Amino acid sequence: MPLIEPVEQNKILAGRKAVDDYRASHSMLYIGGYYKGVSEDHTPLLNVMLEEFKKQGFNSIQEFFDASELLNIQELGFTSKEDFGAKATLADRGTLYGMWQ
Amino acid sequence: MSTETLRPNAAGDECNIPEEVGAACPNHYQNVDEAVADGWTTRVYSVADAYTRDLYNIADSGVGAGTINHITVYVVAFVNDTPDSPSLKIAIKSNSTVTEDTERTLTTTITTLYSKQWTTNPADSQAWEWADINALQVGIALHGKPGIWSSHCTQVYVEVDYTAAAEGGAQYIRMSPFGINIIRG
Repeated sequence: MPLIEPVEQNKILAGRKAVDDYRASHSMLYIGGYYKGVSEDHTPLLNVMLEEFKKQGFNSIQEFFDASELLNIQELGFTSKEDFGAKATLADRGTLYGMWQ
Repeated sequence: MSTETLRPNAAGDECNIPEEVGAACPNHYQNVDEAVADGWTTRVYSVADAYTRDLYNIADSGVGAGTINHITVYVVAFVNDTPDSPSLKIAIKSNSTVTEDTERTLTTTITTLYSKQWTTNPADSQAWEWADINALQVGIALHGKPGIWSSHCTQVYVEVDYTAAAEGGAQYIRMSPFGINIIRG
């Protein structure tokens, strides 16, 4: 699998920012405690994130996170998820575990 | 028949799943209460090689009348890599009894919905009552394999299937000079 090009990396980084923004907004929903309707109030926040994913060329949450994980794996020196699965040591797995997810 | 969806709204009696993205214990319920599942973005998860369990309180019923036919707990869960064993059990706590469903083997698809239906309350083997629903806790048990794969849950909710009090009863229409009355039998 070819390494992710810098332009693709930028798309992944923009997607990660959208996720971080969603997570921050998500935690703000509960700042005053639970209220009726909080479950539904996630949806517009989620839609903002999904819109940003689309802008960056990702058509679903799964597609974005797959790409993001591949970037992590390649930053560790592996070429693909399969390469990582075959060659990674426990230390590599521990490092991956601590990366952005 | 009608259904009412109830989602986690408070911590339950157990918050033992070791990892999360989002709110930490005891507020894991905030990571699984969304109306539309948000996948990897907020979740609880485990790499531990033994089951750990979370329980969540759910909102009180807004119906509260009629006959409950059954309840179904729904869970959106997934793994980060192909697992070599099952790693999900759906759980409920009613009265003081925790009941776990059989183990499920998860996949890497982040939208798969798993469910378990309970026709009677396993705490007393009787039909569900609305008071049981208001006191019900729902949850999950997860495990993984350290350094190899992990199990994740992003959404939990329960649907109460019920027959409304008037449904199924005879209805009579009485016409009078003062209007039309519908009388439920």
